[in-house]
Parts: sequence; structure tokens; C-alpha cells
Amino acid sequence: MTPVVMIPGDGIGPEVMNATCKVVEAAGGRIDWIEAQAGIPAIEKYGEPLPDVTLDLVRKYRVAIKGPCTTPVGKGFRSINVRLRKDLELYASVRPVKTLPSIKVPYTDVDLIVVRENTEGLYAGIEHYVIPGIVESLRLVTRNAAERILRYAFEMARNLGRRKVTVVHKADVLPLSDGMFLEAAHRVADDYPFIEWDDQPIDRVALGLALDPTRYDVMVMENLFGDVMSDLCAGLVGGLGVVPGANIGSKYAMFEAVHGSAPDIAGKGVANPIALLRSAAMMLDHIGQRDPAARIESSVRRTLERKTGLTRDLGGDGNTASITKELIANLQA
Amino acid sequence: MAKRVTLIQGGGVGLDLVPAIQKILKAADVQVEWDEHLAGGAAEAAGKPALSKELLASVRTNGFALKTKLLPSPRDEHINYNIRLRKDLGLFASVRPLKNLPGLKSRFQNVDLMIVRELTEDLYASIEHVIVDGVVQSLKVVTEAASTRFFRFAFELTRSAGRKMIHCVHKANILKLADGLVLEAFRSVAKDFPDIQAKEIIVDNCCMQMVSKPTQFDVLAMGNLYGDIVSDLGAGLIGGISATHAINHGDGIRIFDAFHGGKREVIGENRANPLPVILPAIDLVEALGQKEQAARIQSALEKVLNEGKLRPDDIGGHASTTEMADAIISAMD
Repeated sequence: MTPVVMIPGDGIGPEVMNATCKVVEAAGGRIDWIEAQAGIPAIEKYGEPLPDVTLDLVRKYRVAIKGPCTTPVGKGFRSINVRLRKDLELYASVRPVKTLPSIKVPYTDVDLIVVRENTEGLYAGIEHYVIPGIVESLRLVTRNAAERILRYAFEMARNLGRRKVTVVHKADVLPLSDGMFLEAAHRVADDYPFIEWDDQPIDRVALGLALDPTRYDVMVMENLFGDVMSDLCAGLVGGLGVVPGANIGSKYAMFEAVHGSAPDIAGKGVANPIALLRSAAMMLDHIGQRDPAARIESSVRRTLERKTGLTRDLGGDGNTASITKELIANLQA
Repeated sequence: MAKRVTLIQGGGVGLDLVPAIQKILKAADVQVEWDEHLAGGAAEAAGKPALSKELLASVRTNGFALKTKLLPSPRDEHINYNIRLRKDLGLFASVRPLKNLPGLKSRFQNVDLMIVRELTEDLYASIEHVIVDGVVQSLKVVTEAASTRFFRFAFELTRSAGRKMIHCVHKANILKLADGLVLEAFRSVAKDFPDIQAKEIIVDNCCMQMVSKPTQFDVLAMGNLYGDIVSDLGAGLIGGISATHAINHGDGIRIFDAFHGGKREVIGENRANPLPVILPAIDLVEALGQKEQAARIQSALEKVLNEGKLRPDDIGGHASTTEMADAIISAMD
């Protein structure tokens, strides 16, 4: 049994987490769930959305899975997600995006991975008023962080047997910062002569994805570009309700669904657990439990193909319980 | 009375596009007197200033210009004269109409929206410096004055185009001060336009919605970087960059801008697709008050595209620039 910190979050979080744990167990995942709180339940219990006790548990057990967590706006709390990435140095965000059966979208055969640098860029939150009416925000890029994320992407491409890495930038407008990012890309790519790579400005990537996303495989970029491109890519395959996500550092790893906590449907038992479940599959893969991970992924595809028991957002008339039942039944096939 | 219009000849493919569009406009009986200036890298290569005083004065006097893409400097390919021209003329807003063209293959149909992009600020001020070796900071600059002017322009454009809804695209959840200021400016201008529905959307969600359901949008207004990304993303939704154009606005100045890829040395003489210059030219003719002529060109263009017998190289045909222009002329009523 591998201990994994399980943070249900709030809104629909506890429901989709419950469903996820059931499917993971049925798939043969050997996990000892260590429950911890973040978001609204943490505020109620500890007076803050991301208490130290939760962070300490993640530090102790190294691996966590997290449902959606709400950061109250305007109460002086920093974003839970930004803090987790920062405090745990989860420098790489990984978003695999692959076309799923039965989901009606205009794009087919999408199979790409967005790798996003998580610690720098405009997300450092360094902003100030120069004088009233004039704001400066700093976009920070360091060579170390650039090399680290690029190496992560190339290493991942090799491990997964992917064919190509595209380095995304805006070096014509930002010759110093993105110029340095590109130089780092050349140095890192030099260590991987067997992996094809190119670089493209962010606007051309946006155009290329809209025209034909099958041109892209692994894409690596800084924080803001990655934020925008990972959601754009999620849109190509059906949105945040079906794509998994992971935030990975050299010490810790956090797996999470990137959708919101959907307070409007919370507690009604109708939420779709697929995004979180697929994140759990990534987690199982990460800790070496490859077989249950693969079984979950194929069960998700089979469940969508069979269209039985699907939740409403997936075009069905079922609920969390019915889709969970299907997901478990389809593990055996 | 023929209206004087500055023709900014960027060289390269522009050398083929300009004669084609002049011929088309003449055949449609457009009353225009061209004041042609060679500009950008092509002018520099001919031993002339890239952006001459005469050119700038001509644009300021005439108020209207039709422009093909300016080539980079032959000294340094990173010098982008298109951006310099915007700065020299104080152009502050770029409008990108996105509408499906008949007969042009695309992922989405019935797209009809306008993207309005701020042109003077954001990371495009290109203020960057190296703090210590390996650490670069770039400044994102946002001012209340530019934001207010920009949104006032965007709302007025929305109203005059008979459109009903405008979204401000932002990232204020992360850039609380900078994009917070942008949002404040948007909200305060919105009060003066009660007839227009003012909405807000985070840039990552906007990109996801664009590739899922672009028909939900009417006008999208945003800062420079988001505008760069979303405009090209939008072009991809309706079949590519050659199906789009831009109108760049300054005080009393409108530049009708043609986008075209491909280098003339690569695609060959007289091989360029003339669509990129026809689209802004139609808008120019309309802005000159010659609506009948604009409609004639538009319907002739649609007829040729609908018939589909003749197509340029880049959209699956073999027609030369001249053949396309001649076909459009013969299709005129």
C-alpha cells in the first residue's frame, strides 16, 4: 500500500473524490488514502484555506491528489493552487490532451501534452503602481528554471516515446527573456539528438492548434503561455470536465482535476468524476502502479463509448453514482 | 471625387498583391488616388529609409492607408517594421474581423466576431533587462489612460458596427493590479454604453470557449498580448491567416492591413493568394463611403470562392495572383 494524501476540496470535490477512490480501488490500485483539507472545509476547521497541516502531510508522503478548492476572493488569501505550486516547488504542470470517444467536438485525433513552467513569469505576483493610473507587472525568467522545465519536457518526451517537442515563446517581442528561454532550449535539445524539436511563437501555435492540432505533440512553455494553451487544448477534446492534470516537482507531485468546484451542483450527486479519475490514473502511473492506471484509462474510454450512465455534462441522464458504477464495471473487459 | 489613400508597399509578396488589388478596385469603379510608398526592409534594401518622413506624413494627411506586410530589416531580422510603424503613427487599437468566407474550409461555421486588441502597452513595450546573468525581467505596463481610450474606442466600434455584446478578456485573478486596472477601465467605460452588454472572461477560458463554441462571442476586447494570441487563434477557426485582415486605428488614421505568410522567393512571383489584400481593401472602400463598390467586390469574391474552380496555391488550387484577380473582375455584375 502506498500512502497518498487525498484532498477532497470543496463544492463537488468530495463527491468526485469519493467516486475516484472507489474506481481506483476496484482497478487494483494499492493506495492508503491520507485525507487532508484545503479550501472551504479547511477555512471552517483551521481558519485558512491551505493550512500547514495539509502542506506538512504532502511533504511527508510526497504524493497527493486534490479536488477543486475555492480560494475566497477579497479576503486576503493567496490562491491555493499558486501557493501549492510555489511552496512545494511543483515546477512543471503537465496536461495530457487526447481525443475521447463520443465527445462531440470539431477536432479528432488530438494527442498532445502541454508542459507549463509553474514558478515564474508574470505569476510571481510582483506588481506595483508607478504613480496612480500606471501599473507595472514583472515577468521574471531565469535560466535555471528555463533549463529545468525544458529538460523535464524532453525527458518526458523520451520516456513516453513521443515524436516531437515544440518550444513555445514570444522571442520577437521579448528578445531578452524569451531569447534566453530559446537559448536554453538549444542547449537542452542538444542532449536529446534523437528527439525532433522546433520552436514557434505563441500566436502561431494558437493558429496552428485551431487549424490542425495533430501537428503538435509535446509543447513546453512559460507560465502564462502554458496557462492559456493548456485550457485551449482542453477545449479541443471537450473541456476541463474530461482532462487530467498534474503538477510535478523534484520532491513532490500533486495530481488534480483543473475544473472548478461547481457550487451550483455541489451535494446533488450529479458531478462528473472523469477529470479527477484520470488525474488519479496519472498518479498511479507516477508511483509505478502502471496496470491499474492503464485499466482506468481504458475504462474511461469504454464508458464514454458505451454511453451508459453518463452524467448530464457528458450528454447522458445519469449521475455520479451511475457513471461510477459503469466505470467500475468497464474495468473488467 | 477620388479620395487620396496612402499605399504602403512592403515589398516581397506585396509586389504581386498591390497590382492585383489596384486592378480589382479599378474594375469596381472605386474612386481612389493612390499615394504609394515603399517601406520596411524592402525600402531599406533599396537604400531608402524604412519608414520615411514622407510616408508618415502621407498617412497622417490622408488618414487612410492600405498596407502589405513590411519585411524585416536586411541588417537584423529581429527588427519588425510593422511594429515600428504602429509606434511611429501612434496606432492604439487593432481590429480583426473574423467571419467565415464561403467555400473556404474551416472547423467552424457562422463565426462572426470582432477582436479588438490594444496596441501600445503590455509586454510589447519590450522593456526588459538582465538583473544578473541568467535572470531577466520584462515589464508589463498598463495605464489607466491607454486602457480608457482603448475601451472607449472598442465600445464605440461595437455600437457603430451594430453589435450588441462585448467581452473584456483579462487575467485579473493573477494580475490583480495590472489587469485589475484594465477591468476597472472597462467597467467605467461600459457605464456610458448601456445599450451594449458588457461581459468579462478570463483569457484561458476565452481560448477554451473559442475552440469549443466561437459563435457565442460578438466583440472581444483585450490587451496587446492576449490580443495577439486570440486574434491568430480566431483566424485558425475560420480557415487560416489568409482569411483575415486587420484595421489598425490611430487618431484620425486607419491602416487597412493585409496579412500574408510566405516569402516571394519561396512561393514564386505572381503566386500569392490575393485574399489577404482583398479583404482589407473591401473594408477600406466601405470606409471611404463607396459602399456599392465594396459590395460589388465582396459578391464577386464570394462568387469565385463558391464556384471553387479557381483557388490559389495555399488553399488547394493552382491559380496565380493575376488569374485570381481576373476571375474576380469577370465575376463582377
